[in-house]
Amino acid sequence: MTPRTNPFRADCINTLPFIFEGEINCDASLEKLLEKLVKLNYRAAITGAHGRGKSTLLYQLAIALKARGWSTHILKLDSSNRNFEREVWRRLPAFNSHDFILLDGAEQLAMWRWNRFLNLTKSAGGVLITSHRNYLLPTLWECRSSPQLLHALIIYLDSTHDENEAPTEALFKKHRGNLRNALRELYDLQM
Amino acid sequence: MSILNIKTRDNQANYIPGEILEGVISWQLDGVIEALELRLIWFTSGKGDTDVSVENTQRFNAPSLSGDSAFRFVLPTAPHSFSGQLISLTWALELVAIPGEESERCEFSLAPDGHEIMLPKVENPDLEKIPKWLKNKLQKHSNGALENIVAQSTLIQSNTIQDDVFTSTTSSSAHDATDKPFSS
Repeated sequence: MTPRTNPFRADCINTLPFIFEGEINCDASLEKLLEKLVKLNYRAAITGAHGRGKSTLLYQLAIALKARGWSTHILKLDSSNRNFEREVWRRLPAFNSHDFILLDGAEQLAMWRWNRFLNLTKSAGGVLITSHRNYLLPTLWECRSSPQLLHALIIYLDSTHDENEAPTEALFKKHRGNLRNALRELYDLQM
Repeated sequence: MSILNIKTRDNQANYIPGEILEGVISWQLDGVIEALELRLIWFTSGKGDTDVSVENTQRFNAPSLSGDSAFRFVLPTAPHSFSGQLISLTWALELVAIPGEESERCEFSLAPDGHEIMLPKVENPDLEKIPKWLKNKLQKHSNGALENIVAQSTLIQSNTIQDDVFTSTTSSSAHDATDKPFSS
């Protein structure tokens, strides 16, 4: 097997659909979330620990919002990039009621920058963030993981997965529920 | 749904650096589009982030609803197609309907003997032999996993393709379906 044929390669993991636990119909669940987003006045957060699918859900909602006519703008922060570039800060106040800002990794911003971000985006139609913290904005959805969810994702990527070779329960425990890391480990087992 | 097709001359799939890659594209479109664009690209896939680079393009403006057209590219000298444990580098032609998301891809190999270079598997690597600067560089590309650092360091030291793999600046996101972030 080569990296390009490995079912657990990064581009496959990164394009996994978000699976709502216990929900068969993903579209219906997305609809419910969008309804909740309206009730929260289009200001909300997707929360959860590392590797639980926050970014996946954010991007899936971005597609749904775009399909509903919003002009979506995605910002991404991580531990190696904890602030926006000056140009981004400059552009924030220009967003209007048609614009929806989606910020992945909001907890990276220092609190005073977070407050500045909230002030500058008041004119935007919506703000949806992902964060490990649950107090930045009202929670739209808390992402959680389980061995069953990990198993579903594994089978989605590799229907021939051998449970004896890499038991899902053990993998889940080893990575403390971090689904992304668990799937990355399976990449190595394939090679 | 439109039908897009790429056919290289004699169905050739193995090329050497500097060789001419030519063939014919054909299409049957559902409706009027602005253009068809044929892109000569390479991309990486594997355990880490994906890199993509568009090396050359040919644009066919205002195409009729069906038709065909010849294309010709002079292939660059590098990077070469290869597969290791962590990364594959693949060359391809990509035919894209603009605007829209319909596309067709035709992969091929570009290497000194025309065949993808297969890097050997690393057994019992010795971490201590890896210089600190290299560990830091690799850490960035391997999500921090120690075994990845070892495997990639061997790759980077033993193969001249290294710079093409690790210094490429164009990065594609798996979430390209939405607007591009204006900061990353």
